[in-house]
Amino acid sequence: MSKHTVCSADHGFNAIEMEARAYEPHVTVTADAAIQPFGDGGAELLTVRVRNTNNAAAHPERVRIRIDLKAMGVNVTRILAGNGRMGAATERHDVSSTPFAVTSEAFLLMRGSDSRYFFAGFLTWKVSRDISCFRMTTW
Amino acid sequence: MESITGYFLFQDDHLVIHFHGDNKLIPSGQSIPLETILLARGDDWRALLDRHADALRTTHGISLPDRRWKGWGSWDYYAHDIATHSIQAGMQVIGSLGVPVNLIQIDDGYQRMMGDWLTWDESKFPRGLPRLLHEIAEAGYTPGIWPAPFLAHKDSRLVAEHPDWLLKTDRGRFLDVASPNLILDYSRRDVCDWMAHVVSTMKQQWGVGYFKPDFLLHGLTPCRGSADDDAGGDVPRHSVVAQALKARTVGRDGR
Repeated sequence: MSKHTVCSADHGFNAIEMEARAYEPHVTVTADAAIQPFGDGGAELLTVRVRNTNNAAAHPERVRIRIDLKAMGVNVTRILAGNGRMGAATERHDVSSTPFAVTSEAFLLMRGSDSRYFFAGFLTWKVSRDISCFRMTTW
Repeated sequence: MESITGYFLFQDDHLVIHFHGDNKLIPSGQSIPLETILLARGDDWRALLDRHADALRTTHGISLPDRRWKGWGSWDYYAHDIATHSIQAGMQVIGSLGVPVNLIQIDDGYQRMMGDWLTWDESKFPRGLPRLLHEIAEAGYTPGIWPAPFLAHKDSRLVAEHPDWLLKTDRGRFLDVASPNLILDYSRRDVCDWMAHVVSTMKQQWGVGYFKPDFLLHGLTPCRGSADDDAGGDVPRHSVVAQALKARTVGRDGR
């Protein structure tokens, strides 16, 4: 397993940690990350590639990106929206009364104690691309 | 662009983004990108959602038709308890209000059973569902309908006639994660062809102009389809269905 961090202090996301593991025993895959500004307003794109530096082919089995929100000054008090496994897109979760994890397939919208909002969403989500034709009226 | 899909998890003040590899094989010395992630902070949550939607549209070259839907769907008031007269009553009230509505959408409850999408409940629609849909069109509205393309009730005719069309566990039992419904195995070509036939019939013979596909999350159930190859999996199967629906429901003018 490889593990390292990537920093983007200029744009406020400064505590991103990654780890990657291959299905094959004794084979190591690594994750290379880059973060860059996206448009106006402080948004960023996080791009990660899983690299196989071994002599044999490998199946990446478990790749995780962990973002320490508190270290970034984001004290999440409520999950406002997501999709897929967490239920309807308008479902709300009060973090203080939700001790279990909240998951979402495509995006998470969270509110912090300072009443600002934090958003994370896939930009290349294949399913999102495919269903966009159905005019998802939420947006 | 080929990439590995993942999902988000919030836990213990951390945002964790998980990727399980999608069974992708990386040759020696090569790399595969994960899905690109947009991160943003702001004072307006609507602006953040709009930014994501705009970024998706730009990234994938999506052009949306210039059509604004304003309409009425049967679910919020009637739930499953719909019938010809309740749809007609809703339509009459909308007409009397003089509001600019262009869509009347029939939701869950019309079908004989989940999965039996072309067979309506005769006790609710004795004159037939197509006739009601045509009446909606004649009144000046676009008729809409609700299907759940990944699901079939365990007692449906579809399951009785095609038990081999459902996702199964490694032990050969039906995958039971959406009871009382089962999940269709879209790794099979004949299942894809069947769904294409369903939506084509609804559009071309019944006059449906608006589809509200629901329970799409069940298409992302982690399970190996009977015809999945090494590149198969829940995301590719979901894409196949979405593209088939798009091809059969969206015309050349994008409508």
